[in-house]
Amino acid sequence: MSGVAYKPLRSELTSAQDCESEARFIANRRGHRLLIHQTPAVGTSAAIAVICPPFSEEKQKSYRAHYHLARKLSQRGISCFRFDYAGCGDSDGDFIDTTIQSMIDDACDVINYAGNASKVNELYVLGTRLGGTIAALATERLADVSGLGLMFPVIDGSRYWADVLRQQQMADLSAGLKPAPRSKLAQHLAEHGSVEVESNLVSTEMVRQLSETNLCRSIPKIGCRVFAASLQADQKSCQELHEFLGLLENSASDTIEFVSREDEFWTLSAMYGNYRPTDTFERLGEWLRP
Amino acid sequence: MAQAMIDTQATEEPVWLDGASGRLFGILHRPSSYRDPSVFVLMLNSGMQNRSGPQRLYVNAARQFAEAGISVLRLDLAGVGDSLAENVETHFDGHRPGDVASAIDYVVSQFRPQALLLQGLCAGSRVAMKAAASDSRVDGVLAWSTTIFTAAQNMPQSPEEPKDRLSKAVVTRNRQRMRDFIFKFKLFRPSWWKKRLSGDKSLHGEISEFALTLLRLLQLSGTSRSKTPFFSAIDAYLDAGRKVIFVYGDHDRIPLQEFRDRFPSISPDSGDLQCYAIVNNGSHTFSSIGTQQMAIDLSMSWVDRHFGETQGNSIDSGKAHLKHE
Repeated sequence: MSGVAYKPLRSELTSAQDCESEARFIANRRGHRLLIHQTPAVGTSAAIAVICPPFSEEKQKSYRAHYHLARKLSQRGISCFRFDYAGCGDSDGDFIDTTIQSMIDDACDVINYAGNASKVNELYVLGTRLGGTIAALATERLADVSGLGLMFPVIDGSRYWADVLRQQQMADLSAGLKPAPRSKLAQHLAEHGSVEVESNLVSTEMVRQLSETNLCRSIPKIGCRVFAASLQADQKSCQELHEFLGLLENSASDTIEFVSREDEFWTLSAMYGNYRPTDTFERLGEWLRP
Repeated sequence: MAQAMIDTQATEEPVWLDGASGRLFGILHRPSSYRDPSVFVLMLNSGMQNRSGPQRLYVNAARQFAEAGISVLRLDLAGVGDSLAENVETHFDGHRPGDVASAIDYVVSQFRPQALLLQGLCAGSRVAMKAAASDSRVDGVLAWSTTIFTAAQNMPQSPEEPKDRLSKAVVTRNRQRMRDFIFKFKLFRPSWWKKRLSGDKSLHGEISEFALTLLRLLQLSGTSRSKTPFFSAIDAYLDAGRKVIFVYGDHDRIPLQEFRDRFPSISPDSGDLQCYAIVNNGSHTFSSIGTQQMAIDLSMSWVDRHFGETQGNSIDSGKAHLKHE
């Protein structure tokens, strides 16, 4: 595993008594502290997996589902790492400094840290939604990744950004606030260099990088096995993911495409319903460790 | 109030503690200038959202508290975030006061604060009130967007919610919706009829909505006499003259109106021992940067006023002072 060796900022890990989880801060390449949760493998660790979380509130709403995914994988002998990007969650930094590039850098730093901290050779990079996109782009930059697991990844960043703005407008409406039209948000972004979305100041640079991110146009070079899940209910995303998988240079036999009949698990109602995509998690677990 | 330097060297570290339901996780914020006597704030999850809070509200609040010299523990209760303890109850009374009591044990034994405050939003506020009422070690509560009778949107119904009657605030809202439906938005609009009669839109959904609203209108207001564990706790807490500030966004209309109806004697002056404060343009989760900051400032100002002496005059509530000026 290439990259810089990262050391925990605290000499002792903070761990639950039953060793089901460990948490620590590590410093990323910019000096920001990133919070990492490691769920150690039950028994002998055969592999490690790093999960790249989704964007903003999608991460919050799917947080417990990812916690359960990590525990599920740990029972299959996979030591699992989850983290917050700089400017997000418990990590240092302000969201206005967060860009696609900084998210990729953070993912690479955590993957390198996980690789250095573990003696196993098998390393998987997983990601959900925009975290899936980040996982794919980080994997391209790293050697020795055994597999890439994409859960409902964002293929077209500009379409995703439009969705984020639309959801912001819906959230404003349901909160009794008057939503700003998208043209006004775009104007604000141009004039002020940032726009507020979900209480985060999103920078012009972030919007530019997100809009330029399209995995079907700028195809990352991925030389490892790939698992990719899409939602049957979201036909457009299914098509995009299918097209993306067809463009990859790795052989078709190394790619598993799973069309899930489940629901979105990154929504508010999923969080309050304790909803988890058990089929997708099960298939992902089987793909990682048959 | 003496102004202290802002503490930019505050530390944050993950901690585990034993809750009544199992192992609980949290992030501890310690000001570098930490010393006894001190104020400590224990933050309790907003519903099922982890210790970061909605739109990172808890992170922002905790960092500002720590900068002002106040220690904070952002806790994941059972079933939330990274806590190992499970909890399948996801309604606004789902959090267990026993876990909060365990966290108070932890804070008191580890840090011996001179003043311990509980803070929570929505469900977090309800469990804070329940835990505070039965624990004399709690010196104050920062109750944000406290739901009173009716759950926030998207939340499952609590067993403590009235089943056969609606709050006066909800009945008023339903009547307004009916008036809007009939007079303002729909029935008198030619375009509305044109769409339905041309078959572009189904009348079925509209009729269903109309019937549902009518049914809701038939439900009576009568929840103010309800005596649930939450009301027993909050009434006991208030009757004992203990300190609490309720903070609401003015767009969080139902909880705010229910609060005013149920607790008419609580003062809107944010300086009082028991009071409530309003965040202009604020939603249930203070979902914009400006309203987040206002909720934090109002709370910090209240803490400053009532616990500044405990803190040894070291709370730096500069923003709150600016607001008063």
